[in-house]
Amino acid sequence: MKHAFLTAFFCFFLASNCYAQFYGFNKVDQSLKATDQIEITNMPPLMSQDSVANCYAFPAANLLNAEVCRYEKIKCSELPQDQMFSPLGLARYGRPEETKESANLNAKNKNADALQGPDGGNSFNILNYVTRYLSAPSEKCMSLDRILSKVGGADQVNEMQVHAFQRLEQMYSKSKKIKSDCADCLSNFYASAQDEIEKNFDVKVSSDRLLKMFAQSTYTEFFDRLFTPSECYRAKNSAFLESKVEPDSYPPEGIENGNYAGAIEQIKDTLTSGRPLALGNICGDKEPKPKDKKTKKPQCKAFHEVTVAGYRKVCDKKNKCRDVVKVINSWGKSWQEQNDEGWLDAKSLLDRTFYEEGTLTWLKDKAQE
Amino acid sequence: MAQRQSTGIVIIAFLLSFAAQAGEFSLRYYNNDKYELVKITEVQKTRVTSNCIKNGKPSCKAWSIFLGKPFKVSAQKVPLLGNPAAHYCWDVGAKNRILKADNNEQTDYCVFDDNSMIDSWDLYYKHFPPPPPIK
Repeated sequence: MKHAFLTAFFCFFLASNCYAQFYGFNKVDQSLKATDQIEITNMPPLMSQDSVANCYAFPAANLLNAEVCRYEKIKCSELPQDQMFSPLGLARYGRPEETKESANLNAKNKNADALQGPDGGNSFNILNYVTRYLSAPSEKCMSLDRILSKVGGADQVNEMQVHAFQRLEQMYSKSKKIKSDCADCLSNFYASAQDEIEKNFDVKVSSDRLLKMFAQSTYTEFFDRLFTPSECYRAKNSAFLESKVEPDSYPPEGIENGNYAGAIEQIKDTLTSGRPLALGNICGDKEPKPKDKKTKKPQCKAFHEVTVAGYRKVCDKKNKCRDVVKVINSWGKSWQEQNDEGWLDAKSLLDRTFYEEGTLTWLKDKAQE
Repeated sequence: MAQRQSTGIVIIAFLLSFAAQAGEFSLRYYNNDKYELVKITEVQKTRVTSNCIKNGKPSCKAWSIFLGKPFKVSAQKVPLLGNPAAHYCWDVGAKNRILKADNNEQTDYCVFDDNSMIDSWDLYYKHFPPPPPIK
């Protein structure tokens, strides 16, 4: 069975049976007077995650793409596809990986584990990895619409890739046990591996590339070599990301829970500096619940993560005011249009995060040594 | 006089039918290993493919599902939220596909087996209207 190549989706999807409505995205009366508006208008094109549950990768892609546009001073809506970070390509970095680099990184970053998204990933991990090691596929190379067209749909993607990726990981593990002095063993193994990879993942692999793949010291690095040919990595102009920027998060490291005032202040500060933010830990349940205090496990059934690209205050005739944020969702252009371009009530949205670790993520200038 | 009135009525009818499709635009749809252009038109503030319009009226599977009763939304299996409207396409017997505009902005469409398509959020919100804005 043909499989298009995919990043490792750890999550398996879709709207729940609660969802005649998903909660937390509340529009505000457009007749209310708006003031104090801050907005990042130079944002990349709106995207859709279909029903694949890798929402956290889209804000990460938005932040990275917006940073490229900001740094290069180009119109983000015209960012070529081969220059854009692919959310699909970024999704696998959503969890702390087992590469040597990420293991060292996570040892230094106490937030990494705490920021682990529920059953999936989070944008902080993606930004943390990519701004140090770069090498993430472009949207031109790894585009969700093309992959879903080949395999049928998100359900098929999710089911098939479980089996296929399990086989792949077994294959990699097996390669490490073959004795290097057994030429026949190696030859037979590589021949069979090449055939299976080409068949299951629709990826052409030369013998030379196959050897390099299996020579990698970890499965993640092997995976990376397999699915991201060198021509698919983004252009070198993004090298500035490695030395110039790094991610930060709210609440700050060491603080278990923030609060609404702190979150809004951070949003305003970051937007004023010219950068958007990722807003995660959003619980879409009708009655959201925070993490269990004893077990620290999430109690929410449906999490989501979005990009925040604007803030304003709206007041009624009695001068009763509320904060409003502009959300860029990964639910396509139609959702934006039908939700007042994403301008939503801030309090009801932010309260659903319980201001837990990793609620807000953004890129900042790295302190130069 | 009667002839002038008839002519006027014909002209008005022609202009109205033209206006109904004046909002026509194209999107790229990846199908059979290549991008093809599909024409989208707006009918009663709802975006459907132009192949849904027959004799000036919408008549296709997408439209009949749109006008019909809501379907049950299937249960979620994992705790990360995908696009609910995209998922709902599958519940109504269609498949969801991401279509792209010239500027690469992406929109979800439910694709039915008669090749008619409808904007996924237009369908979803018709069946599950969103709450009113906060005042």
